[in-house]
Amino acid sequence: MADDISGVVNARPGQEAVTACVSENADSWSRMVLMLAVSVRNLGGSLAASPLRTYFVRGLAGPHRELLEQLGAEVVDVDPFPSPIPHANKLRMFQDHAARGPGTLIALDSDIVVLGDLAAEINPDALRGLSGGFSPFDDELWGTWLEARGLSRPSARFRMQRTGRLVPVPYLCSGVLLVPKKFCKALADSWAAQVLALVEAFDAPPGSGAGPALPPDARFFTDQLALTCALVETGIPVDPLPVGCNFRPGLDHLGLTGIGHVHPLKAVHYHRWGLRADGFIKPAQFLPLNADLERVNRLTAAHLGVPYRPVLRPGSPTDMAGLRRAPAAIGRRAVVAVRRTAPVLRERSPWPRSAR
Amino acid sequence: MAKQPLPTIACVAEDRTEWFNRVFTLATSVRNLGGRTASAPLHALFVGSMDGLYEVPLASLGVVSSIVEPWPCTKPQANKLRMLESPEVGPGGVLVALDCDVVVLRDLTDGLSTSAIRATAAWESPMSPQRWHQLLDDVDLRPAPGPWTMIGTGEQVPVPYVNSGVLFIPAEMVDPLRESWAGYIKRLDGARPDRELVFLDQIALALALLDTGLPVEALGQEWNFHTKKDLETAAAPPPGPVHIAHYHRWVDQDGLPKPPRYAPLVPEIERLNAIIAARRGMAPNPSAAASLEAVVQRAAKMVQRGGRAVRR
Repeated sequence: MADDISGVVNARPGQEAVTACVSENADSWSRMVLMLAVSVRNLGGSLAASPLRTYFVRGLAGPHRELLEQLGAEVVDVDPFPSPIPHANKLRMFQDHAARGPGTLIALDSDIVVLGDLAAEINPDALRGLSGGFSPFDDELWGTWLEARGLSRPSARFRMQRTGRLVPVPYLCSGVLLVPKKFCKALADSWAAQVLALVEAFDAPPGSGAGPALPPDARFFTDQLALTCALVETGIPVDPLPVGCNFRPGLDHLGLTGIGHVHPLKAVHYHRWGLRADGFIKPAQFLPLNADLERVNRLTAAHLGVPYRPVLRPGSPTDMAGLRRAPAAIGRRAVVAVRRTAPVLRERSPWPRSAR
Repeated sequence: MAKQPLPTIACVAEDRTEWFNRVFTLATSVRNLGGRTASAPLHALFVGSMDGLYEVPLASLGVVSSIVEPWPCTKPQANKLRMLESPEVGPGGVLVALDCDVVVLRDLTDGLSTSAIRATAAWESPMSPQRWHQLLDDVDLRPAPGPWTMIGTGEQVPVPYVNSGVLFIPAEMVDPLRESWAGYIKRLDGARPDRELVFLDQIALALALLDTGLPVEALGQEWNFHTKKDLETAAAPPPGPVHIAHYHRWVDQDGLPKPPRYAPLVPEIERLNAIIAARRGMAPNPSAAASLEAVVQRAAKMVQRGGRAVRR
């Protein structure tokens, strides 16, 4: 009898997932969500065959809604989170998922595109997110703030991506979070309370006795600071994600992590400043990314039915001039990146300074 | 509001590049234009073997690829019975069994039913009504309660003779249909004139539907729309919005579906082709390829000049 040749070549990861993002009802935002949806359906692996929810603060109308629905994205209208911090609106997706069906929530910022299967990164027993670039609170302030909130200091320390410093709390970038269903409700409840407490403290007049004085610059990061406090309060285990799952396409990031640690790239966080004037994603300094970013741009253009001007059009005099200038520009930027990262690398070296 | 049935999509392919291109085109259309169906599980069953090169592009679209044995039959069309074996379709689900040479242009959920098998009548019948009656006598089956009208020719036949390229099969009906269908394929294979057996799978399917008594409902041709056919000659009225287009071999040199003869569908196929080209990473227009060639020529000249300078 002949050998049985049948079999599955590529099995899906065993974990069920729901991808989601929260967006404002504005053209520039819904355009980013469209790019995210296009990337999930075309490059997301098992996420391409999983539910995708897009939450729009104060709803979404018009052609973008239709395009998202064609891509199988559920468009959910939500009210803003009652806070002056717009970033806190992202709590809506955790609150909604806590009340809905099964699956790990893959919560993404709108300014992210997916280039690989994030579901393969799910840890059913922990929340996963990338450590922040730097902590807006120093160790002392963390201690004071946690004490003021009645929270105990965690035993583990977490290394910040950009500065390389160890901080006493799980301070994560909230742009990509993988949250198993069983943690969603507790996280959403605690996170909401911590946002409100931080806003109150930031807005309190100096000397009002509303807790320790917080640096005004840190107010921008209220949602991430509150997430940290929520993780401490709830005791949800945290499992840091690799850099390639929330990759910021800059040379400084690469200098810190080393190219070998970046792959495989599964999600790119281009941020709003990473967009061209025509709404497409700018090319990355990390060149291997550009073929996929270009693919997302072209797919989005095809969905919108608009012309797309590729980043590099070989042969055009302008681009050729740009290409000739490029090595010098990259060289200059590389020097800057190395200067920035060298102190950090020294600090992160496993060997004592005298042995180097 | 009634709960929507959950589709599981499947197709069968040979281990050849043109077949892979069809599967890739189908998957891209589902993921980008399928609406609520866009996130449906999609299974590609490759007969005999599968080139490793196909794995990554299909996996990135969330396609689960498998290798299956050829169905024991002289006609390769019978391989599509593997779709009724492999993908697991949960209770309340519907198997959407598709030919590879179709594209999904809209949400499919409105066409699905959990209480009946649904399919579109074939464009034409390979046998006259008299021949059908003879065949029914041979296999000891009674005609269908009402005649089925062929989409293209308008002829009426006494069996549910449907195009097997698009079949919606409720989960509970998959097993009985497969067993009966397989039985008639085995019985007819080699036992009928070859000109009739070009469509062996469809003839056997019609007999299986009659024999099992499973409920069958006819879908309009917008659920299995033949892009090459000229609707001027069709007996059926022009369709509403097309959900599934069946392009057969009506493709351009890149393997993309050619513009259909039905004019209202042309912009939709052009948009789909733009999406597929973008997904494949194809040059958006010939001029880009031409300019790439210009760069190569310039680089060659620079190397020649550099060589001369070094020699001097």
